[in-house]
Amino acid sequence: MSGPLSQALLGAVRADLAPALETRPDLEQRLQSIVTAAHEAWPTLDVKDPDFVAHLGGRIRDAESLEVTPGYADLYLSLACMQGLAAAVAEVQIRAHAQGTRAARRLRLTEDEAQDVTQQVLAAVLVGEDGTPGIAGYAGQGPLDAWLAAIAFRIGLRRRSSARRETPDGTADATANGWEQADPELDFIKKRYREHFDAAFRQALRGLSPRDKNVLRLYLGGLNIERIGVCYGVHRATVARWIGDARERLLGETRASLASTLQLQASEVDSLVGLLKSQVEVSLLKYLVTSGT
Amino acid sequence: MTCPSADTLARFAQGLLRGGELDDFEVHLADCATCLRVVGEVAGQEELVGAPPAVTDDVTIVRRGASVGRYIVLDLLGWGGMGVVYTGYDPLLDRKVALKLLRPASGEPDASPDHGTARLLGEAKALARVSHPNVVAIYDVGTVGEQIFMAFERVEGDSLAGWLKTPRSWQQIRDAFVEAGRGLAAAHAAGVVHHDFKPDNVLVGLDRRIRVTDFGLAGAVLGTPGYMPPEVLAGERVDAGSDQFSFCVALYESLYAEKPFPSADLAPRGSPSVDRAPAAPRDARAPPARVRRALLRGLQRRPEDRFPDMNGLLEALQTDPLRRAIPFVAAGLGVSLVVAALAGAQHVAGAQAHPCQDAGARLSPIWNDARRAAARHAFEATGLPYAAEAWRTSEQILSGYASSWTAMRTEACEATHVRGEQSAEALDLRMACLDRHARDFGLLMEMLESPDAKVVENAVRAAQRLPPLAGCADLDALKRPQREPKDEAKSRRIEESRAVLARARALLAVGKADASRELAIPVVAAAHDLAFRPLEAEALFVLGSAQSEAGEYATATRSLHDAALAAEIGRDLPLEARAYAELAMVVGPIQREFDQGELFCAHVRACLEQIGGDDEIEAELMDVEAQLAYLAGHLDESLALSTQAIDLLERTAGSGDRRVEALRSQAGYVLADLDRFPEAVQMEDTALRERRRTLGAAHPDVAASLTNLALVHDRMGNDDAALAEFLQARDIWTAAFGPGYPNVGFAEQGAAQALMQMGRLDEARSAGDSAVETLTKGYGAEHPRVASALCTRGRIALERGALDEAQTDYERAVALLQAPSSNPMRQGAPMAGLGMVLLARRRPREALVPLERAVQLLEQLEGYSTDRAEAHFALAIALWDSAGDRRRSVSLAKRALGEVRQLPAQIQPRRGIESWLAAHPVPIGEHP
Repeated sequence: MSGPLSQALLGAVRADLAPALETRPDLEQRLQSIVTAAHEAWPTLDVKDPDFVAHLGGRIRDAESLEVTPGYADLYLSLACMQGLAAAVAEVQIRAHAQGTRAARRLRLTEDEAQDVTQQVLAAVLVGEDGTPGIAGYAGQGPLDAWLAAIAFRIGLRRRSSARRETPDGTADATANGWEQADPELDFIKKRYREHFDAAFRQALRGLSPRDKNVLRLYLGGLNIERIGVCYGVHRATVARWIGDARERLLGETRASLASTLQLQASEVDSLVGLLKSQVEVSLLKYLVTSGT
Repeated sequence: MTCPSADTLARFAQGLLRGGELDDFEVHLADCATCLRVVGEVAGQEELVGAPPAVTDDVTIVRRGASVGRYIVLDLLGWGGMGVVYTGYDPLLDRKVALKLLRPASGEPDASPDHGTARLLGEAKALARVSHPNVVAIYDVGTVGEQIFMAFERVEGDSLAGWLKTPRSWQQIRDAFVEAGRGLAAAHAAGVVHHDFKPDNVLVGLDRRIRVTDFGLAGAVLGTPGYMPPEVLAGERVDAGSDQFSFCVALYESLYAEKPFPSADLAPRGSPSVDRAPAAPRDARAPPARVRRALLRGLQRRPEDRFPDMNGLLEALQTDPLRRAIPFVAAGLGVSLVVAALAGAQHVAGAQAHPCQDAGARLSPIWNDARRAAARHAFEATGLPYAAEAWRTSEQILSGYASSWTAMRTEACEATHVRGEQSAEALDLRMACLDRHARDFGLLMEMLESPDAKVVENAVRAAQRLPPLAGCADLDALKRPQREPKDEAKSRRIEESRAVLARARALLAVGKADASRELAIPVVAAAHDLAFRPLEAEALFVLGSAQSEAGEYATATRSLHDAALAAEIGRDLPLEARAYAELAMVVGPIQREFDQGELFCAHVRACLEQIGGDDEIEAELMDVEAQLAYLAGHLDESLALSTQAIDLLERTAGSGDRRVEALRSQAGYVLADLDRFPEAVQMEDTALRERRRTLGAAHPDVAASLTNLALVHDRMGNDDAALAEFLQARDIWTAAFGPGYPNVGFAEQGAAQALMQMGRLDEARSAGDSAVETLTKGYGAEHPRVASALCTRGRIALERGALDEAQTDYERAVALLQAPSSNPMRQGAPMAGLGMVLLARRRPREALVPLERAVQLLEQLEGYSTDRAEAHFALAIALWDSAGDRRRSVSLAKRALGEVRQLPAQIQPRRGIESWLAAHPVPIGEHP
């Protein structure tokens, strides 16, 4: 039952996964399919099969998923790159460079910053900080490009925040100005209640579950509900409902909290919330986007 | 705080995190803006993380062939915002539709299904009531089980998002959006909010019409981040103002190639920064500041700071400062103020110093070097092969108009102030008339400065169609109509309405009938309210003309009739005459109600008699009468009328006028019918040369002239010339509109026919193939117009002996022509073709059936028809060979010969019939 590939795999997997894998009757056959697919994807890269399977074994997270996916072919590429095969290194470099450039563009970095970011991405992927190249952390679940994109954006964001710190932050002003643009008649009320509102809003926000918060933030950050659905493996209609519910909860909690701190009647709170409603989305964004930084 | 590995982030973005790992990650994500941003970016890339999961739980996937209401499901088209969309077939009306199956309310399993369905159905029905050229038409709404379905118009074309991938000028982009905006406005008027306006939800048809689609219903659609207004984000009430915001985001993004709100800041916050210069516009010529200002207003965070409605926004997007100045001037305040508004305030002092000095300066804000140069550049920038020529001729015409205007203005002024011949009141009337014309001039200039293909194509015609200045000299005519109300508020409303109407007229002149109609409708209503008939008549006239141009003849008839009546009550005789003339054209030659047409012609004549004559209207009348005479078979009379009309127009409007050339083409056609081929050729050739001279050799109208000439050559049997002309026409149309333009298919079909007659069957075959393909692409495979090309191709196949191919083409042609919209007589030609195929297969008895039917149909056709002669002859052969009635056979053949003898000698079939007749004498004893 147990062939050479299975043995290579079982020697490398997490101890708690081994028993379940050992008993899988199709293990050798599945590994063979994965290896074959990898060879087909990279006919010119010569990585020894047991090495590849062992590399894979060290990175799988459960005993079930051993389907042939494009990720495993990319994993094969990443191992070839770690072994220093010139063609594989070049391929990974090209891809890392592409993702670095893309992230820099999306983040509207300057030309200099973009070059900087791309270099850092290449260094992180191919060299690493403590002698282990970053690409060792790629587990072959999902395409390599997605993993590279995550690295690239993280580096790009770090670069951007350090660059922006040098200049005054214009966008923060724009947010604050949201209060002052409004109708002068309301100014007094708004100024008076602003602190209370902010506090109530913050508190309501703390009451949201991480899921609610994350979905709202991803959504307000520009990710459409279909794509959020992908992250959670649910249909967009479900995501839509989550968002609607989270927003309701947020407004409801803010109201309740305002009512108790200001000792107002329900009707008074309603009119106050009505006045402040235009402020809600600004606050939502402000807090959701900046929380944690 | 340590962030999870890039691997974890990437896996979350792909939906690969589960269980405890997911929970842990979410706790971190909830407090980490950096990871959130990384996840958002990675998850947003479809090529990295794969397509969203297919719709599974909340919509039943319907199989091909299944019935939904009366519709039959064909193919799955995709997922829209509201559910699954299929191609469907409507057996009742024999057409394909798009069929959308809506998911139950919000896709929420826990929502009460009955309540949700009822609400959704209600909204779907409201949407179905929106009937507007810029909204995808909904044919039907209903339920099947618990599911709601909607059947709507299937639009061939691209989405606006796809259309925008090709570089466009800012005007083209703006105009496309304005059309979409009209669709939104119409929906809003019906109480329907879109909820998810974005370029993906707007279609650009092959007919270049813009149509808004995918309306969101019952809150089932959340909108698309980036296009959503703040009030949606805040969960507040969503109304038409929200659509306005989304519209502005989309237009802003399309014009400036970036979102109005920096995408680095996760979503819209506050107003977009006004002072930040937009980066790298798509077009080197950036949109003017006023467009940007209009957009920024539509993008205001508070709905009440935006425009009150879409129409306000659309108006602002199209307005220029000159135009806007006019409506605010009350007409009652006197002419000098109106003129000051036209010319700029700095001219007021000058006007007081010497009233008749610098009359030309009044026109200078409209007609000056800078604006001419701008228009010329804008024309050239369209890249259309005939743009330069079109501008050159337009410029000449406009230049002449400007000089006449100035001369007339000076004259009118001097008549009062210098020579003292006319009263101040008369001066006011004349000046107001001139100012109205100047406004028309200004609006046309505005359109010429930001031309799209349509404007370039119609520029010369539009310049020729500026209202004749002679009307402003005729004091009697100016005095006759109902006077404007003295009330200042009313007066202002009239002036405002006139401004809108002037724009509608300008749009109509540059070929934008749909847009024109939309502007005319509210003016009709306003004028009616004001009980000011001359304005109402004018508005109805523009409306009717636009409807006629758009092919809506029934409504056009109504509008024009109302226009004529309103003009009569308002005592505007020239307008009454023109309304009746247009009405006669729509009812008579177009809708074939000949008696009615003649009746309206009589009305025109009566008006003309009261006015004391008007060359242009008279020419228009003769044009209608010529067409009516032709249709009644009075060819000589028709020809005489056309020739007279040409003379008249050449005297007043000059050669090169579009109407003159149209009349020449028509006269050429009649001459060909009269077998006066050399004159016919000369007539068509003159029209062609004039068009080349005035419009440029590459103008689409030149292609139309070439086709007319080719048709005459074809009838003369001059196949070489016809072929060359058809091919030239094809090339012009292809260059102007692309290879998919339907007329390209007509030209190819003509070329195929000519090639076949020349015996070049292989080339004919491939030209025939192209023709069928092009027309199919242009009109859709089901369109009756494809049938004619199929007949030609079938005929070529028959000549080649490819009987199976011929039979397939003819059968398809017959099927297409069975559509209810098609004239049944047209089935005659392919029917005859089928008969000839059977004859060629030596099955004369079977051939009798289609041939008898074909002859019956074709005999109802009037005028020249080779098809009829061929059908008669084929039936003769079939009768003889199947041992049928041989006497009838011979008499049919003789009849065919008689018909063919009327054709030029070069056309083949005659000899064939003669020799057949010689070989098939009527048997003795069967003579009568």
